[in-house]
Amino acid sequence: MASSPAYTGPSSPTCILSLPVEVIEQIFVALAGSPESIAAFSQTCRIYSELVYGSTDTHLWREIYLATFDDPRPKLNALKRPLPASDSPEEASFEWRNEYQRRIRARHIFEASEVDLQSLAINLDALSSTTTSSLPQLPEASVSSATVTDESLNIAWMKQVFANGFPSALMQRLMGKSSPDSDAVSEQIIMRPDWERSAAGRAFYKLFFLSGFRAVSRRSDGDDKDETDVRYNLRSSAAKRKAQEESTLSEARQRALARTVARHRVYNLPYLSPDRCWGPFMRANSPPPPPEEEEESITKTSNTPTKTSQANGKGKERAATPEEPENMEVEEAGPSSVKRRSKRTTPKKTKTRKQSSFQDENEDEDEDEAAQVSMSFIRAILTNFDFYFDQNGNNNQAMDAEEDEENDPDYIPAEVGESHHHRASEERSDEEAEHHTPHEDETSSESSESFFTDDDDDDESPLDLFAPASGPLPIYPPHPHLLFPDYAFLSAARLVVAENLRERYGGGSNGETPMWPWFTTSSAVEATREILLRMGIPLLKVNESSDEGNDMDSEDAGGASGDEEITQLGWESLRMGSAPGFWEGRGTAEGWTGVKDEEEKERPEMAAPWKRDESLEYIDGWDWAGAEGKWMRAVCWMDYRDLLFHNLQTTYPIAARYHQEIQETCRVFPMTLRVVGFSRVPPPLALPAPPPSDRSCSPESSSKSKGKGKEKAKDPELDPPSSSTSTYDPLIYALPVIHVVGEFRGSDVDESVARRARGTVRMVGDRAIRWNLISSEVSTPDRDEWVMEGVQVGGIGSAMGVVGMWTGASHERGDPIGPSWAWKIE
Amino acid sequence: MVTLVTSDNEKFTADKEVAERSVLIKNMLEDVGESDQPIPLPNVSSSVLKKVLEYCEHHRGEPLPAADADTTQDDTRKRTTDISEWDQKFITVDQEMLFEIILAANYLDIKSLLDVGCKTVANMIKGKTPEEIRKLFNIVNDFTPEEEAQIKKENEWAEDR
Repeated sequence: MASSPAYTGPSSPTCILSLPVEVIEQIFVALAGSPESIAAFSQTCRIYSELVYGSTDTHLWREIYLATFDDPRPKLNALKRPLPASDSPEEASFEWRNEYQRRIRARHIFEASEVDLQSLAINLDALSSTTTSSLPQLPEASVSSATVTDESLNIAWMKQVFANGFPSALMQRLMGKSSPDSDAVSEQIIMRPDWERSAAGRAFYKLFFLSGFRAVSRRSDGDDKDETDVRYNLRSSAAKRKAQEESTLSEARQRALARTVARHRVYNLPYLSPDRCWGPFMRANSPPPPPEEEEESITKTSNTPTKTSQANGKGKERAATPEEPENMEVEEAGPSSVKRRSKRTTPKKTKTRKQSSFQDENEDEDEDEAAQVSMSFIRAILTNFDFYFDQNGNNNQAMDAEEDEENDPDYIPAEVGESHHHRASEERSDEEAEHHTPHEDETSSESSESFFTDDDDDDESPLDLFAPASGPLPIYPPHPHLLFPDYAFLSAARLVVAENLRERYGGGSNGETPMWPWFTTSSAVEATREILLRMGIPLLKVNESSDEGNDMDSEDAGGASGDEEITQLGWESLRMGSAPGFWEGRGTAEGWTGVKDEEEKERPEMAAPWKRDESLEYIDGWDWAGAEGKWMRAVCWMDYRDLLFHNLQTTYPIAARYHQEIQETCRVFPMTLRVVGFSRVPPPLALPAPPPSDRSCSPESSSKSKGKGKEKAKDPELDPPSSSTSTYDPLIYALPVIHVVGEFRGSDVDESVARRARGTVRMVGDRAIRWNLISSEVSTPDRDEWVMEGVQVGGIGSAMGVVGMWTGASHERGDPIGPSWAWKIE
Repeated sequence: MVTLVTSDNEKFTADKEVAERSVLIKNMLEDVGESDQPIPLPNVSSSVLKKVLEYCEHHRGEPLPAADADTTQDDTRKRTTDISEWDQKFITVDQEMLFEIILAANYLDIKSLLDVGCKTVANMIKGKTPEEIRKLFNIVNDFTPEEEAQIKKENEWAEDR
C-alpha cells in the first residue's frame, strides 16, 4: 500500500530472499531502535520468523539488545567479584531476548492511554532495572578493554522514555489528586492508599526514587521540537498559558502537589516503628501483599460493585499488615502472639492518662481480623491521638495553636531549631516513665526497654545481629536480605529535600549567590548547586529569576540544549561508581574490578573506632560502598510544634484551618566519614544458596525471582518482600558491614560545632545499601542524639548519594522525624 | 594499481588503497604478494562493482574497522545510527541493485558498505505492517492461518497499544 513505488517492481532475480542469513540478521539488528518493525518483519514469512524466534542461539537477540542497551556484563561481573568463585559464563545465563522484550514492553506504559495494571509491576521493574544496569563508571584502570565506554545507552533510552514525564495516572498518585473527568478503574486502583504495597506500587515508588520528580508534560501533536516551541511561546503569552493550564496542570503545580503529599509522608510521626527498623524499611516476612487477582477481579468485574468492595477490603487489610509489628512474631514465635496481643492493650487501658472511648473501640477493632478497615490507618490515628494527648494535657479540643504552645513540653520555638533539640529530648525524659509503657507495648516486647533506652547500648552489637527472631525486633535484622527499602517513603524524602534545596537555591538568587538565611556557608551553597546538578535540575539562570515562581517552572525549559544535558545528569548520577573519589576508596577498585591500585600502599592506617564494641569481631574488608570521604548532607526539619500540627492535619484536614504556616527548615552541613573496620553478617544456614545463574539476569531486582520476561512474570505479585525466603542474594552476605566514624559539622546556629558520628553501611534486600549514621550530642560526644537511616540512590557508589530520614537515636516515643540526604563531595 | 575481473568478465582497475577497503581483496593481495595478476571476483557483476568502487573511492583514507574484534563492530553499529548524506544518495538505487550491493559488500567484506545497505533495508521496513513489507519485497506469505496467529502472538511484546 504505502510502499514506495521506486522499489516495487516485478520480482527480480536478486531479492531480499537472496540475502544470506547473516545479512538478514544484521538488518534485524539495524531495526533494534524500532522494535515493532522487528516484529513486523519477522511476521512476513517462515524463514524470518524462524530466524528470530526459532533459534536457540541467543546471539541475534544479544546483538539487538546491545544495539539499544548497555552491555550488562561489566556490571554483572563487578557484582560477581565479591562472591566466591562460581564461574558460570554470563553469556549463557543472561536472557537477552527476554530482557530486551521486557524493556520494550515497559515503554508502553508511557504511551498507553490507560494503565494496564496487570503488567504494571513488571514494566516498572523493567524500567528500574534499565536504570540501574547502566554501565558502571569504572575506574580508569580497567578501561583497558574496548567495550567499556563512558556513554550509557540505557540512560539515553530512559531519557527518551521519560521525555513526557511519568504517565499521568501515576503522577496523580504522587499528587494525591485524581483527574475529575476520569473514572478509569485502573486509576482508581492506583489511587487507593494500599496500592503502594502492591508489587506495582512498590515498583513504581522504586522507579520514582531513582528518577526523581518528572512531571507530566503537556503533549502536543507535534514532535518534541514543536512542543518546546509551543511552550516557549506560551510562556510569553499569559492568555495562552492560562488556557493550557486548564487542560493540564503546570509542571510547577504538579510539583507543588506532589511535594505536599510527600511532606505528609516524611513528617509522619507514626511512621517511626521498630517494625521498620526505625528507618525507611520494610520487613519481608509479612504476609504476601494483595494478590494480583484482586486487581484483576476489579478490572474484569468493575460493574459488580459488591465483589469489588469485598476484594477491596480484603486487599486493604492484607496490605496493611506490614505495619503491624506483630507480624514477625506471629510468624516466628507463633503461639505467644495471642498473649502479646492482649498484653498490648492492657497497659493502655490502665494508663493514668485519659483515653477516649473512641480509642478503645478502635483498639478492639484493631484486633478484629475481619474488620474491613485499614489497620495501618487506625494505627496512625491512634498514635496521632495518643500523641496529641501527650502533648496537650488530654485536651481533646485543644486545637488552638497558641495554647498548644504553652502546654507543649516539647515545643521548641521556631527560631532555635536543631541545636536545641537535645534540650527537648532532655525535657522529654521527664515524661519518659509515662511514655515508656506504651512504647514498650508497641514493640510488643518485654525486653525492649534495655534495647531501646540503654544509652550505652551499642546498636552494632552482634547481639542484634544474631538475636533470635522471637526477641525484640532488631534494628539490624539477622537476615538483611529480608529487609527491603520502603521506596514510597524514600522517594518522598528525596522529593522533599530536593524541592527544599531547589527552592532555597533558586529563591535567593537575584544575580547574587543565595545566602543567609538559607545557606550559612559558601560550601553549603556550592554543595547544593552540585547536588541539584547531579539530580539533573536545571539551575536558574540569573536573568530568568525575575519571573515569579519561575524557579519551580525551570524544568519547563528542558528543551534547551544545555538543559538537555543537565537533565541527563539525573540518570548519570545513578550509575555505579559515579560518586567523586569512589574508586580511590580503601580497596574499592580492587574489590569490584580485580585491578590492583598501584598507589594503594601509602594508605594511612584505619582510624580507630571511638566507641569500640568489644564483642564485635572485625574482619578484613574493603570500602565497597565508598563510605570514606567528605560528604555534605541536607537535613530538613519542622520545629516540633509544627511537626505535631502537620501530623494532625494529615489525620484531620480541618486542623489545617488553625495553623497553616508550617515552617520547614532545610540546612546543608558538611560531614566526614572514615572507615574503622568491617564485620560480617553470617549467611543464613537454613537457606540454600541460589544458583548464581538465577541472580545474574537482573541484579537489581536480584532478590526478585521474577521479571525476566513474560514467561516467568505471570505472577508478578509473588515477588518479594514475600517470596524471598526461598532464596537469598549471596552478595548481601559477601559484602562486609562497613563501620565508619566521622564528624558532623555545623548546626542551625553555629557552623563550628561538631558532633561525633558513627555508623554502618551494609547491603539489604533488593541490593539496596543501608546507611546508618548516629550522631552524638554536641556537648557530650559520648551520648547519641540523632540517627540517619538512608538508602543509596541508584548503583553502589552513585553520585546521587544517600537519601533517607533522621530521627532520635534512642528511638523514644515522640521522637521527631524528617528527611535527609547525604552526597559525597570528595 | 589493482586489476579486478567481474563475473561478466569486465576488468576494473583501482588504486590499491581503494580496493583494499574490501577485506577480501586485501587478504588476497597479501596472499599473492606483489603481483600484477588480475583478481577474479566471480560473484560480482560489472554494474555492481562499479558502484562498489565508487563507494570505496569516496571513502578512501577513512579508518577501517579493526579486523579482529566483534566488539568493535558492535560499537560502530551502535554509534552510527544514521546514514551520511552521501551514502544515502549513493544507496538510492532500485531494489535489485540494493540487494546486489549488499551481497557484494558481504562477499567482499566491506563492513561499512554492508552496514549502509542493511540500514537502508531497515529503514524501508520501519513503520510498515507485515503485509506492507511482503508487498515491498515480494515475499510470499507461507504461513498457515494457525501459524500466522501463533507468530502474531509471539510478537505481542512489541505491539503498540
